[in-house]
Amino acid sequence: MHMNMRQLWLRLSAWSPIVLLALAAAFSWWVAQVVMRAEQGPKIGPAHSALPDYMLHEFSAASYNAQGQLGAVLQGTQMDHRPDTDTFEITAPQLRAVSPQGIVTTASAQRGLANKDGSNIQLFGHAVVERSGTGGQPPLIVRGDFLNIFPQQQIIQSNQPTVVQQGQTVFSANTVDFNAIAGTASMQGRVKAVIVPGASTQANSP
Amino acid sequence: AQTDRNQPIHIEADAMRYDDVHQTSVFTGNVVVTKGSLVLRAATVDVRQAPDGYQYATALAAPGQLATFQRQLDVAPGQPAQTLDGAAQRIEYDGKTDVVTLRGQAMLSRLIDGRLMDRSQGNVIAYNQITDVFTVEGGAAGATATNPGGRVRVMLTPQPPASSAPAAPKSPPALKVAPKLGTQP
Repeated sequence: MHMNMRQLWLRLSAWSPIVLLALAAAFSWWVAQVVMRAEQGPKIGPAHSALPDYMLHEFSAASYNAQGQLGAVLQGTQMDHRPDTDTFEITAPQLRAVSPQGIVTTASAQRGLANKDGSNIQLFGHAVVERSGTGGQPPLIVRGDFLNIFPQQQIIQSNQPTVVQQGQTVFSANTVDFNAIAGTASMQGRVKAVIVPGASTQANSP
Repeated sequence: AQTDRNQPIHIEADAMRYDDVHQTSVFTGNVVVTKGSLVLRAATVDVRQAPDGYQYATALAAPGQLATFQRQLDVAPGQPAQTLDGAAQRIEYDGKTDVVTLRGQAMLSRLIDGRLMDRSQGNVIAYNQITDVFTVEGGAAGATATNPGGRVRVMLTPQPPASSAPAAPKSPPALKVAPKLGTQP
């Protein structure tokens, strides 16, 4: 007779999307690196034309923290700067960032678009962002065809179906909006959650 | 049923909002929570993590409707299937005491092979999952079409003298022995 509702609710809220929000924080250095490198490159076209005015091929931008440790590496097969929109288009961006606490964040997509001050980064096509787990938790993975990231405000949004997974626990929805500063995560449209007991989340009650 | 324990939880809803400051997750819009044999349906389900680490959940019905839950009960092999159906305007779960409280037009029914055996109605029904004991309180707020006065109404069907199977002592399945005190695992 003893279906234990306690187990049900215990599992339900042990999964905490908030862990995901820290992802957004890992990006702000990224664009600063990209922008700085790109501007030093030679100018090849008139400003304000739709044609890229400078390009980088097979580029890799790395950033180091004050202690000289590798902070993050961004690679891509090509990066074009578009003077008309003052944006940077990156083909096949690959990011790997390590936070001072040792949290590794990786991101990749078919295409990336970043504005000049790095306040907005958009990933298009098989966008995957993964953050290593902390405290024995499995990594947290966000997948979608479009991820809209605002690093300084620590926001990840998407108006397209997105899947968030940690271990065997999976949340999916048509649109998502994660905000690390506000500490909120909201999902709209056909929200589905599968929470597997024990597998991916520790019971945190005494 | 007992086997529900380590089943995954499936939740479907129109929307979900998580708030880390208040440690709450709120699912809204045609919410269906399933776990093993348990199915809970409500307009909104919110789950709060209290500082003491326990979870508290509340399922609310849409206006004029009832939140419902259904579960299979453990039965001896070969026995007919038994289900427990609950319905109320509001269903609360207290993670600390493991008590499910049905509030407002509350009804708890037990069916064997889909046939109604027992039914209790009232304003509030509190069902303790550990002790398998439920209490029913009356009150005008409990009034329903079938129970206009909102008074407590409990209908228990005596167990038919089972020919082969041992007659169950009382209609609710055997009470579980409370865990002995001793050292906690």
